[in-house]
Amino acid sequence: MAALRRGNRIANVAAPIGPLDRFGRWFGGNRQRILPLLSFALVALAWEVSADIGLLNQAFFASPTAIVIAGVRDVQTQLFWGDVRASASEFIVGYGIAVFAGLVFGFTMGWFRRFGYFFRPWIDALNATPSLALMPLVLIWFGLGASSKVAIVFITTFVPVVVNIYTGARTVDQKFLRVAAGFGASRTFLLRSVVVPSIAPFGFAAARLGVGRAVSGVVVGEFFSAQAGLAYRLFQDAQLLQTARLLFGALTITFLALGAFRFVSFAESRTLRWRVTASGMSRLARNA
Amino acid sequence: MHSLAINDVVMEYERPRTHERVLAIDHLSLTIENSSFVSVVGPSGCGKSTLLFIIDGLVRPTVGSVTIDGRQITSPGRDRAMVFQEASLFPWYTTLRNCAYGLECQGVSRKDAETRSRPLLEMVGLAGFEHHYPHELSIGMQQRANLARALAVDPDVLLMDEPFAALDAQTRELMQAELLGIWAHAKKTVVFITHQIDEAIYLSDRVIVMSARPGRIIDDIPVELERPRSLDIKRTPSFTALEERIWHRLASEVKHGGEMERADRGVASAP
Repeated sequence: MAALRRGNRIANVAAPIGPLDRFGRWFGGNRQRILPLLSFALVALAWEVSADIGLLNQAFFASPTAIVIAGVRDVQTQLFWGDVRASASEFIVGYGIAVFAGLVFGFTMGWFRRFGYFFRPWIDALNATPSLALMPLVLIWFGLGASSKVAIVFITTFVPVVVNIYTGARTVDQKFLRVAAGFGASRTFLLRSVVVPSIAPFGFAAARLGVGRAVSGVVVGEFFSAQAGLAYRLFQDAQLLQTARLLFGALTITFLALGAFRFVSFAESRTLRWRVTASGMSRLARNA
Repeated sequence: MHSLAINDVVMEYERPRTHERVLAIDHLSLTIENSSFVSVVGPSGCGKSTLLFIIDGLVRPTVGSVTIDGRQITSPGRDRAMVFQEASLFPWYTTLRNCAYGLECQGVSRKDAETRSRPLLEMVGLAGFEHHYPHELSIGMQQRANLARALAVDPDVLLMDEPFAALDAQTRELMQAELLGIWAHAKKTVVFITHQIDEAIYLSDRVIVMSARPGRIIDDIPVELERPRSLDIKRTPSFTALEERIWHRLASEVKHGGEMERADRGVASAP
């Protein structure tokens, strides 16, 4: 291939493969993995150099090495792990309740028309409301403790989950319902064999969307009031101009959020095997 | 009186947005003897599919009734099974589970239903594809599975809604021959909707020609070609004579119905 591109058509095809060709082949095969890493490394390098030569003020932009050093120091403290525990539990409880309740509520709205029409305006209004703006009110209702954080996580996550599941339940393919009806499926069997599998992809999409929303909820909640938590610590660090620790804290949140995201995707690929193989096929087709 | 009888059926429905009343089927009567193969041809939107839905019990006629051996049909039942037009296999089930679906609907356990479905998959030539998902099958294979799913419940009447429409010409001919083979063994009553005149003649004991909407029967043609039929029969003079006759009968209707079809594509199957 490389020989062809250089314009030496037939003569060079049988020639021994040089190291450059070998590199080109290796790079071509792995570019999906190499390029993201390369992009990351280049930015980090540029950042590091600019900080070292004084182009960036270290007080405002801690260099990557400073972040790593702060991180190594941080993970050895009780404080850090206490923060992780606090934030993670707010996330898990709020997110878990929101997804479960959202599934039930969204499905009920989609399946029972009247119920849907009745609650639709509230869901639409809440969906248009920047729910994080309700945090001061949530503080009045739930006080300064962990429950206010769980509440704000719930509020930010619940609505998008409901909207997704509602849409899913409304768009179950008529064709499949007709097949089930034609074979005389009972209502419960129809639900199990057609409706649930039809909605499942919407459910996972909602769960993935919810991760980002719930993380925002945790962060905003802790900014307002907390005694511990990753975002709370981040806020404290900012006031002390500890940018290295701050950025390490932010990275930790990103990392944990990515982990939650991956977990949902993993559960999805396990549950919806018929869809995974479908996307695998399309990848094959793209590469061909 | 072993037969399927459609007694003076009228089907009228309302368009969802415009609330306009549409007459889809106009006083249609038809008696189909048991174990016979009857095709229905007609221009698009003439109510062929609607008629099939009425026989299956998915749709209630506005006026009139359908009886099987004298019993009136009010809902889908075990004695009838439908082979739907489009790829209507559930994408979330494997071929085997799809095939077993009808039996599972009847309360047969999943394991038993799958055991009973295996020979049918074999019969339609899908042995070895039990654990493939529908999207991993070709369209022709999907329609075989679709047929197997309907046959699995062992119905007396098989209702087929343009089952081979999406297939290429060669696959379609092969499937036609295979369907005849299966029908010869199973001896079920088949009502077969199609656009293809040659397909209708090749398969059937009788071809019903429907008018453009509102659907009425404008011709009822017995096909007295010897069985078993090979695909070569399509080139015999008696075959082409029948083809000619049906084509002329339809041509005027298609011309007449052309504008109507453009105005409201697809509504006939969604009353």
